[in-house]
Amino acid sequence: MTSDNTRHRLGLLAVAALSLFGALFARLWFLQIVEGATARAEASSNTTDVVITPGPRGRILDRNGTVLVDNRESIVVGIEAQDFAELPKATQTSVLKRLSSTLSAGRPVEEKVTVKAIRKKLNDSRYPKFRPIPIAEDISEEDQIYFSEQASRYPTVVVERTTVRDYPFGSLAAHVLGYVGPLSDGQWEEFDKENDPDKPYVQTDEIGKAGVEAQYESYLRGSPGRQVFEVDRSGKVVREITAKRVEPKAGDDVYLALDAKVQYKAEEALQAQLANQFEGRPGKEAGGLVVLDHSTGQVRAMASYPTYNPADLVGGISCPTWRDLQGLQPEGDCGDNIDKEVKLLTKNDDPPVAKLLNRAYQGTYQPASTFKLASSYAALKDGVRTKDAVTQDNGVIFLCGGDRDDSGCRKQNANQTPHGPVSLSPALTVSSDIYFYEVGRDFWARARSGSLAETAFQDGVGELGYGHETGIDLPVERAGQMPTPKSEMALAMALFKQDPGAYDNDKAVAKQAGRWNTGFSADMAIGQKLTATPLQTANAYAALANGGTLYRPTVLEKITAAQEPAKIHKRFEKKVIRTIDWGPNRDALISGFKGVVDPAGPNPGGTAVGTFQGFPFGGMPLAGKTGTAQTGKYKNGLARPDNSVFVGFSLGGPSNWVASAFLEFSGSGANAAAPAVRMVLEPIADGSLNTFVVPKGGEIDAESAAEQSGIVAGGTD
Amino acid sequence: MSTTYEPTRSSNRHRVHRPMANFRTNTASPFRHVDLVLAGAVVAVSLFGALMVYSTTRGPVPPYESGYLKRVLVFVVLGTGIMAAAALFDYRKLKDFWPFIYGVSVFMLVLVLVPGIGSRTKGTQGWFQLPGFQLQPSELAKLAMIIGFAGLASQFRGDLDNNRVLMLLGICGAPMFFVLLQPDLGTTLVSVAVAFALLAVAGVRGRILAGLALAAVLGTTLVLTSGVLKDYQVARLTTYVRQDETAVTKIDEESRYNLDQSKRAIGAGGLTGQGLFNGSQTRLEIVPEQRTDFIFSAVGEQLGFIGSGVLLALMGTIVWRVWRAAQLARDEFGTLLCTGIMVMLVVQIFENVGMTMGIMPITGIPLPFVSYGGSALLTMFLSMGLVLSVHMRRFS
Repeated sequence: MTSDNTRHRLGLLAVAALSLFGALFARLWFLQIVEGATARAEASSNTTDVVITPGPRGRILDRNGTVLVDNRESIVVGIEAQDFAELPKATQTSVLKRLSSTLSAGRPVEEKVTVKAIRKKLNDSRYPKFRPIPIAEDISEEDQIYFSEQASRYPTVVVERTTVRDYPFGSLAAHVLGYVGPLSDGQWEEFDKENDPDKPYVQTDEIGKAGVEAQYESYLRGSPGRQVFEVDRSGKVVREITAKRVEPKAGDDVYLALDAKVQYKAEEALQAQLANQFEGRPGKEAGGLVVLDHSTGQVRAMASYPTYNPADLVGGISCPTWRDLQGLQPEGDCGDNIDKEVKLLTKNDDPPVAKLLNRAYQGTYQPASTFKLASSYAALKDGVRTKDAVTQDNGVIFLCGGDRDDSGCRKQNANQTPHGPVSLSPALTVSSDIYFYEVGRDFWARARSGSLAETAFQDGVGELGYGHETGIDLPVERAGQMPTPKSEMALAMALFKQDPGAYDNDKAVAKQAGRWNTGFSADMAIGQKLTATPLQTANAYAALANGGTLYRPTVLEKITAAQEPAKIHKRFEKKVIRTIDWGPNRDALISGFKGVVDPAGPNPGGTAVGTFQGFPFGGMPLAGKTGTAQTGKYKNGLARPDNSVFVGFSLGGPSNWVASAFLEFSGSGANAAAPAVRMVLEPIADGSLNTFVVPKGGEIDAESAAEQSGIVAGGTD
Repeated sequence: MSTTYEPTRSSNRHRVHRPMANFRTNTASPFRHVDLVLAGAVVAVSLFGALMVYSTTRGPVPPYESGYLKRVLVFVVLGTGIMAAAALFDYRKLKDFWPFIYGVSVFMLVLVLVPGIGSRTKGTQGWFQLPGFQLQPSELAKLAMIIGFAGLASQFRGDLDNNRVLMLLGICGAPMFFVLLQPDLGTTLVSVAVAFALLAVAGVRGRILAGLALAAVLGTTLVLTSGVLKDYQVARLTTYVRQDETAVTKIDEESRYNLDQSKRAIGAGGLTGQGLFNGSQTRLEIVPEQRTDFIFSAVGEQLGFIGSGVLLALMGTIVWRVWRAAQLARDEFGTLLCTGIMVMLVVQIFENVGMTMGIMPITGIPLPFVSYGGSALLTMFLSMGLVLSVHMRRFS
C-alpha cells in the first residue's frame, strides 16, 4: 500500500544510508590500511606503570578508646633514582656527599648516613621505579626547609611526608601490640604468589610482625592507592590515566579488650616485684602477668618483662637493636651465628633473656602448686579422692614404701612442714604437697591396675586447658608440656639416639630411664613435671571462678572502620572451649583458695595471708593460690632460685577478675608473684584505679613503685 | 470415525486450529514470512558484541573477569525472547495502544529528572537505579516516539495540512525536550534525525522539510553556545573538528585523549588485526569507556579491517532488511515504524563508529547490539521484533 511518493522517499533514505556506510568504510580503510603502520608503532610503545601509595594503618586502642598505637607524620628524604642516574657522574658524587654530611649532622655514629649506605639503597631493586627511594626518615623541619631552599644544590633529591607508627605510651603493652616492619624476602615470595586482591602487597610494604599488629593485619592494613601512568618507549610518563586512580584508604581501628590503666598497673607490678627480688643480686629479671575478665575470657592486661619500645623498631631493626632484643650484648654478629651464640650461653648457665617473647602466653613454666586446682579436678572427677577424704600429712612421704632416701621415692613438703590430717579444702589453703603426692601416686596405681586409663590424669587436667593452646588471638601461642608414659619413653629413646654415651651405650638403661614411675605422677600432681603458661593458669582458674565455663581468651573488643561512620566490622564474641561440671565440690575448692589469702576463710594457715594483710576484701572478695617452682641446679651444683607463681581471682562483685603472675627466680609464690597480683588488684578493689591516669609516655619507676606498695611479702609456698 | 486435520468445507467439527502446522499450505500465514536473515544477523551481531565486551573487560592476566560477559549473555537471551514475543505480537494493535505507550514513555522521561528518583552519572540525569539494573528511559523513548509518530501519522492517512504537521512535530518534540534537559545531547540528535526522516517519508512537503532542517542547524548551534551543556560535553562534541590543534583546557585534553587512543587502537589493527585478546591498547585498558561507547576501537584493534568490515557488513544487512520491511509493509503504520527504526539504527551506527574514528563528535551513543548496556540492547531487540512483526504480516 506504499504510495509512489513514499517509495521515492524511502529510496532516497537508502541512498543516504549507503553513503554513510560508505563513509565509515572509507575512514576505516584510511586509518587501518593507509596510516596503520604509524598507529601500530605508536600503540606498541604504549605501556603503563602503576605507582602504589600505601594507605595508613588503622589505630590500636584500648577498650575505653585510649589510643595505644597511632600514626604520625615523618619527613623522609628520597632520591628520584631514574633522574639521578641521568646526572653526570661528578654531580652524582657531589650530591651524595652533600646529602650525607647534611643528614649525618647531629646524629649518633651508628645512625650516620654514609655515601656507601645511600648507594646501596639506590641499587636496591626492591624499590619501585617511579617512587623516590627513601634515604633518611624522621628528618627535622629545619632540614626540610633547608632542602627546599637549597633545591638547586640537591638535584633529584625530594623531601616527602609519610606516616609512621607512633606509640603515645612508649612500651606500654608492647608485647600485645607487637610491631611493624618491612616484609621479609620469604614473606614477600609468599605474598607475591597469592596477593590480596583488595589490598595487594608490594615488596617495600610494612607488615605486622608480632602481636595484634600481625594477628589483625588484614584489618589494620590500609588499602593502598593506585595511580596508573602511561609511559612511552623511553620510560617517560606521558600522562596519568585518571580513570584508574584509586585513593589510598586508612585501615580499620582495632579496639582491644585491654584496659590501659590495668595494663599499666600490671606492668608496674611485675617490674616492681622483679626489681625488689633482684635488688643487689645478680641475674636476669623476667616474668609474665596476665589479667582476665573471667566472665568473658577477655584479656584486661597482659604484661611481660623484659620489654621493649616498638617505636625503636619503626622503619627496620638495626643489628645492635636486634641483638639487644634477643637478650645479647649489642656488639657482635647478626644472622645465623646468633643461634650458636644463644646455645653456647645456655650451655654456660647464662641463657639470654629475649625481649620479644611475650611470657604471659609464650613463656612456659612449671605451674607448681597453682596446678593443684587441676589435680583436684582430675582426682574428684575420676573418683581418686572425695572432697572430704583425709590424708595424714607428716611433712615427708616415701612413695616406694620403706624409708629409702633414693631419688624419686622420698618426697617432702616445703621445709618438711607437717600439716597433720588434711582434707581437700585445707590441703589447698596450706598447700600440702603430701596430699597431692598421694593423689598422683594413687592415679598411677589405678592406671597400672587397669581401673583407670594410662593418661587419666593428663586427660583430666587437660579439660581445664593444661597441655593445650588456649586459642588466644595472638600469634605463636605455646601449649606447655604435658608428659605421658608414651612421650617420656619417646624422649628417652631420642636422647639415647642423640647421645648413647649418657646411657652407657645401653638401650636398656635408656628404656629404664624413660619408664614412667610413681614419682613422675606424684611430681605432676604438684605441678612440677609439666609446664604451663601464665595464661593457661589464669584461664583454668577463670573456669572455677565463673562457675564452670572455659572460655577461649581474646584480646579483642571490636574492629571498626577508621572513617565516620565507624561501622563495626568485627565484634568480640564469647567463645566457649567447654563447660566444666564442678558439682558440689566447687564450694570446697573455693573455700580452700579463699583461705590462701583471706584470714576470714574457713582454714587457718593460708600461704599468702601475710602478703594480703590489709587488702580491701570488702571491695573485692578474693581467693588465690601460691606456687613455688623448683628450677633445678646450676652446673656448679648450687640450687637455682625458685620461680614465684601466684594466681588470684575475685569472688563475685561488680567485675570478674583473675590475675596470674610468674616471676622467674624470685623465690616463693607469696614472696614476689602474690605481691605483684595484689598491686594490680588492690587499686581496682579500693576504687583508686578510677581516678588513676596513665602517665604520658608510659614510664615506669619500678623501684619506687615497689617501695610505695608497702606490701610485706612472706610465705613458704 | 477417523480424525482428519485437513480443513473441510462440509464439517467444522473436527477442525484443529494449528497455525504452526498449516502455515505451509496457507500462503497468508505470517509464519511463512518470518525474515530469518534479519533475525540471524541480529543474533550474530549481538554475540559478536558479547565477545568484544569480554575482550575489553576480562583483564590482562588470569584469572579473567567474566562478570560482564555473563551479564551481556543474559541480556542477549532475554532480548532474543523479547524479539520473538514482539514478532508474534500483531503490530497493528499498536495503532490503538500508541497514546498509552507514548504517554508512559514521556512520563518516565519527566520522572527521571526528579532528583532522588532518577540518578545522575557523569553529569547526565538519565537513569533509574533499579536493583541489579540501571534503566535508561531515553533509550525506550526513541522507540516510543517512533511508535507515537507512526500511530498519529497513519490516522491522518497522508492528508497533511499545516496543523497536522505541527502535531507530528509536537509528538517528536516532547521527548526530545525532556532528554535534552538531562542533558543527553547524543540521544536528542539521533531523535532529530529520526523525526526528520519520518516527516519526509510521511509525505511532508519539500519546502517545509528544508525549513525544518535549517531550524535544526540553528537549534544545535544555540544548544552548543547557550550553556545547557556542561563544558566537558561541549569539549567532547567539538574535539573532532580540532584534532590537530593544541588542547585548550584540561577537559579538552581529556576528550582529545579519548579520541587519540581510540584512533590509535583502530589504526594499530591494520588489515587483519592484532588478534583476539591481543590488542595492546585494549589489553592495557588504555582506551576509556571501551566496553560501552568506544567498543568499536576494540573491534578495530583486535580484528582489523577485515573484522570491522564484517561487523559493519552484518549491521548493514540488518539495516537493509529493516528498510526492505518498510517498503513491503502493507500499511503506512508499518512503513513508518520500520523507517523510524531503520534511521535510528543508521544514525547510531554512523555516529558511534564515526566518533571512534574521529569523523563525528564524541557523544554517549552506544553501538547497537555491541556496546555494553542493557537498556539500549533490549530496546534494539524490541525494535527488531516489531520489524519482524511488520514483515511477516505483510499479506495477512
